[in-house]
Amino acid sequence: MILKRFNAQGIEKFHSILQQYRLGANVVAPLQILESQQFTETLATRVDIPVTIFTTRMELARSISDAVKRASLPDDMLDIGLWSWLSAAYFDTVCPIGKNGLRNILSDYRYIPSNSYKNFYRHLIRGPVRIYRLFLESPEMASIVLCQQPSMPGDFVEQLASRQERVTSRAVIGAATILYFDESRRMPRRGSAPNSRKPGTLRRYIDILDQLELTYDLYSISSQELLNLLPTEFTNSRFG
Amino acid sequence: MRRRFNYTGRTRIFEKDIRIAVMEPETGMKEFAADLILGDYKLPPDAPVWIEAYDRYAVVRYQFGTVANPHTENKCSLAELSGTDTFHFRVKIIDPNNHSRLLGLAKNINATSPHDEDAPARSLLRLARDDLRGRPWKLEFPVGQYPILYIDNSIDAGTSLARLNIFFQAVVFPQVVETILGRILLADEYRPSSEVDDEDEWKASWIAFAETLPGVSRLETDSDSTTESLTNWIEDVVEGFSRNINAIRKIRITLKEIEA
Repeated sequence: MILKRFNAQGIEKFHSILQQYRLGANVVAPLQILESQQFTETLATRVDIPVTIFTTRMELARSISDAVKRASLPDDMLDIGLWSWLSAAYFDTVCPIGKNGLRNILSDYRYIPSNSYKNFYRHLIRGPVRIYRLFLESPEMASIVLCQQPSMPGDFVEQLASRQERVTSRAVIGAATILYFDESRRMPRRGSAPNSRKPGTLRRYIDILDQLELTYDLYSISSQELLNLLPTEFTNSRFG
Repeated sequence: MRRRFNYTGRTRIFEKDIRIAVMEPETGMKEFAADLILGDYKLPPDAPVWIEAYDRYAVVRYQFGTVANPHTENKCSLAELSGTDTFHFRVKIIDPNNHSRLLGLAKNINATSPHDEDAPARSLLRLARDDLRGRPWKLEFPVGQYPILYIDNSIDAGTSLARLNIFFQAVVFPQVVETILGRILLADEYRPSSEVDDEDEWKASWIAFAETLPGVSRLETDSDSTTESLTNWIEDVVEGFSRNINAIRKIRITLKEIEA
């Protein structure tokens, strides 16, 4: 498949298709508009992208980041038509058909990027690509926010990617990966992100970061140095 | 009412002591130069200074000498940022004996306007575009930052609508002012104090701006302040602001032009 972008009409069409899905119109991926001259624009550089279903945010981000880089687009992160088109192209990845035979359509900003500060990081393709690029030299360091299924980012992504100062800090993300990423299962450790503030859990980690940010420069510190600053509740992981 | 106390021992670096100019040389790759006045702060002269430029997607950091000599010979490129014009800067002073300990900080710094390098391009209201799904404009309040006025990105004029279109300004801006002050005083229950927390700086700036408007008295926030007295003060501000920007006249001019 050749990488393209939606024009304004294509973005509008994609919005209406998402709404139709919500009303239960059908479950076929919106492939019909991907090649349409009416709804898309061809990029100056021809870039082939794989026709596949990605199973993790890491796989997706690695492949798409590389493809978008080859396209040499200026300010690509701000290209709403591009990321919307990618959502439609990988719709089975970002919005798979569930066990009940239906797609669970999330808010539009999950598929069509929003510039709102509340939602800009929540796009299901641009979001992981943004994190992957921040950790380009060692993406494994960001496993805790790239290991999830693309369609279900979950609480680690929500809590860590929502604040610019956290997600851009190698120490913050690296330490979270050491604390909470289960290497053998390639998933977050069980019980590490409950809604409550149990000792040593994700929400406690966020609380402690809020305090440390007042007196430490979290860009000047290594993951291990950050771990050393955490209280004893984080010392012995009790998660599965 | 929420009050904050600064027990961190961290020094606040004031924006008046920071000048950051963004330049776009012929290469097209933006870069910045900074002029920092740090001599009056009680900070170790050998403490390293860092400047961080950031947008939503990335951050670039430059070591900028020391407190005694805040200077770099290196080119401070902004090429890694996404190209948005809404990037900002942080200035950090780090403990020379503990490389991660923060001794001083300035956040949410805007670059100096290229047209007036003596004055920082401080804006009380940031402008951005977004798909608002039918709404022409919308206000958002990012935590600790100046409010953002979003204009729907299907409007061709984009953010220049707010900068240049007198009809838009006359109709929308008074409501924007009312909403922002309502947020500050009624929803957040912020009250001005002599020591301004970093996260509340934008609120203090808005109150200070409002108090300069014609017919607006100084905001009294003693224990007798009621919702009614605050609402009345906001009303005075909106009226003063509307007169100040000649809102009615702008609407009349626009309507005459349409009729003609």
